Amino acid sequence: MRALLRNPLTRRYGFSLLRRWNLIATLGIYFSLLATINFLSLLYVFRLGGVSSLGVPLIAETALPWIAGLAVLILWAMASNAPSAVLTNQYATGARMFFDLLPLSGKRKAWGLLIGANLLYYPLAILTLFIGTQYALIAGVKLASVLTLLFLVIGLGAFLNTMSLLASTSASARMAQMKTSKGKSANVSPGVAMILVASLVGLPAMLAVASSFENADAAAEYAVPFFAWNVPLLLLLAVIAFVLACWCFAGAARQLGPLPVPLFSRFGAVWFLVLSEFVALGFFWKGMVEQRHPEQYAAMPFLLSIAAAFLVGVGGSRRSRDIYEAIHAGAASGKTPVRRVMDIVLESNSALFACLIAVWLAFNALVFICIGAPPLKSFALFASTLLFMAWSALAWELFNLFKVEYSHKHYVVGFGIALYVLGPFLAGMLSRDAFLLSLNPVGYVIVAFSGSTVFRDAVYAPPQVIAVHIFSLAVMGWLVYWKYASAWRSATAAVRGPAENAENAEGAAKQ
Amino acid sequence: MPRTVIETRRLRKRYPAVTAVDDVDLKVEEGEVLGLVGPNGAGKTTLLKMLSTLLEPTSGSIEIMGMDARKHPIAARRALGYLPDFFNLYGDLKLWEMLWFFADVYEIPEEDIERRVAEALELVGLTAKRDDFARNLSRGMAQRLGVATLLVRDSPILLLDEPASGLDPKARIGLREVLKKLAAEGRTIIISSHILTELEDFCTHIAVMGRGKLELHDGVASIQSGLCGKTVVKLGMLEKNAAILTKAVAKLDYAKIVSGSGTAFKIEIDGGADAIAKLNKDLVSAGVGVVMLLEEKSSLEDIFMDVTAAFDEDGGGA
Repeated sequence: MRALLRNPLTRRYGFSLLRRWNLIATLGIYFSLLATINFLSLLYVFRLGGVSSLGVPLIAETALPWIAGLAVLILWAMASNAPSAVLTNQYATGARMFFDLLPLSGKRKAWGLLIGANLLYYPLAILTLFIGTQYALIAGVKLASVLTLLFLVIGLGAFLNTMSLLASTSASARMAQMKTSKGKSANVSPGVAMILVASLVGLPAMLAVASSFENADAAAEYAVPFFAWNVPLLLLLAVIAFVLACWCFAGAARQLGPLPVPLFSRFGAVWFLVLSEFVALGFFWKGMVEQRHPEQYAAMPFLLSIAAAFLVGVGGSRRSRDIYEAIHAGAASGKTPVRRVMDIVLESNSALFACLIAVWLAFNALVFICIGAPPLKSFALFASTLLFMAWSALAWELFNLFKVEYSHKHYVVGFGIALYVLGPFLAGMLSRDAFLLSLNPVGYVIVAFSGSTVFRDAVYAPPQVIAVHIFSLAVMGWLVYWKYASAWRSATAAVRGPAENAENAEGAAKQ
Repeated sequence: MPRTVIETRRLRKRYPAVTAVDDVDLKVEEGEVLGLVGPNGAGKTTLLKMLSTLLEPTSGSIEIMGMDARKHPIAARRALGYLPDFFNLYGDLKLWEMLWFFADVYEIPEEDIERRVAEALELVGLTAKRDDFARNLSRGMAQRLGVATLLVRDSPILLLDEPASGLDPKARIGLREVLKKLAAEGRTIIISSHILTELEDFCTHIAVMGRGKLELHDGVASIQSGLCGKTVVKLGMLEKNAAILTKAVAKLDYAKIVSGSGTAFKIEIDGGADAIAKLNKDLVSAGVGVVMLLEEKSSLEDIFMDVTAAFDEDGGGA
């Protein structure tokens, strides 16, 4: 903790951000805004009939949405932009290399950027939230509601700030050099731009949703089912936002670390999926058990978690160069071939996908059993989805194995995969032929899920379709094996080469 | 025995069209000041970037202070100070703030930072600019500030890529003095430069790169006194008598005539000072009227031209 607080990057931004004139300008604008909000609120109450003994709470109530808006603007938008702008700006000015070379861990860099770049905004956000809290209490909002709303604003703020930091770690030099129409550096990556837009759009959206409630207390107390309980929605969203903020921070720390690593560690990827499944199920559980056809309700978290499993798998994938390096290191380590094969299999991206698919399967199978879904229909659904997931995992593995630095072969592989997915799919859609549509893995799942075919009595699975899919899986699996086998041969030859040379030289010397 | 602080094994960086660094095995010992020379595109910058952990090698290994740089990158970075040829420092900071930041990052005790910052600024001649913003510095001053960022920390290894490029003659002399001081402190320095006469002054070792390969790596003294243990001596004779000289040298298995005519010849011999003394004795006893026998030291530029001549014949470095 002490190491986190004593961060050189925080001090470094303290030098540049807390200069006298910078402080005077920022605080001047901030207090002018506060004064304007209060003055306008006062004016509004005067026009309603003068400030009576009830006038003060009314002024507080009038000013409260604006104060909340100001807090959200500072905490969600400005504090999200600050650390990411720092990173992209370093690319634009050519100073990024010094940042990369700093002998600090990724965690310290991420923390230093987050706090350091927000040395002005965080105190202002805290001050605004404190003022907002006072106004809310004066306006008669219950303390519990105030705390729930505070928790939500801070939780979403933490999520947006860390998400923005994470998105900016992928900023490239080319991206940072993009210029605005005025010739200034854009200083923002597309990911961060989306977050900023979302946070600015989120403000009116939040106000609109809030206005649908009778008052702030009603909004804070609005409860939704989560498994068997009724939980205040805002509190639940705040908790989820905090958890996601922790994940984003961990991701940013990994990306800012000294070595290029995937966004998710293997352990982290599995945990993330477990958590996502848990949250998705929590929201849908009550609906599932109370429905007459629970399996139809269960389809939603079922499908959502397929996407989560795939995205997490992609996020946790190792780069091809790391895979090839590990194969070469294994060859040089003197391990037995069986041990080397074990290492390669366990460290492969396919193994990660297998773990994620297992988690997905375990969760959803358990749910389908618990809610009493029809076994045959469920089996057909699971089988087609598993086939699709296995195919997607192999396709991704193959694409990744071809994605070597400065090579463009992976584009060809990607194009081939896209063609296989889109060709029969489009042909099937245009000709409205379910058979043609189910000849590719995506179409197969769509047919299994779509309209009347979902959970219908006779599951659409002619033997030819199944044969085509098993064949395409085998081809994909063979191509992946072929890539690994080539790397194995080259690694073995590289190790054997010098050893053989040494033996030859030794033999020649003896002669 | 000095310990090895940098060691690379079969280090390689391959780009689609070219292998920038090709199986380089380099060993640098503690306190060594290694001048890295080579024609443009020889792979010097790529090698330095890989040593600094900034660029991932395609294959091969790098050990910094006995640690695998890929497994312990933070510890390796703490031991290294790298100054690239072109860079921009943080323009929003004043000079003293920048140096304070670097000292802080490299965990210099807080009570020492103020003194170190003042000393570093003094040494690079930027004390008067202490409170100026880095963005307002000229190219030469920024280069000196870059060197100052290396001075405020305790990194035992310094990697400098063309540090004198873009500097005026006065600034170059100043920089040379700073580098001499760092070398005198016992720091290990690898410096790439085109200005060979400057390297000659304070480098203990020279490495020549060409087309990504390390062509030569040896101590300056042994390189200058002759490549691969050979020495070239200038011979002055009393009278023009090439026949006696040719006959006398032909009998010696450690010497051969390289060039010459009349009374002046160049002879290449195996060995150093002892071999020169022996040659003198053998020639005199063979009846050669020796009036001068002088070891010919090659300048670094001569050596550089010799080693890189092959690349030029092939159409330049990669």
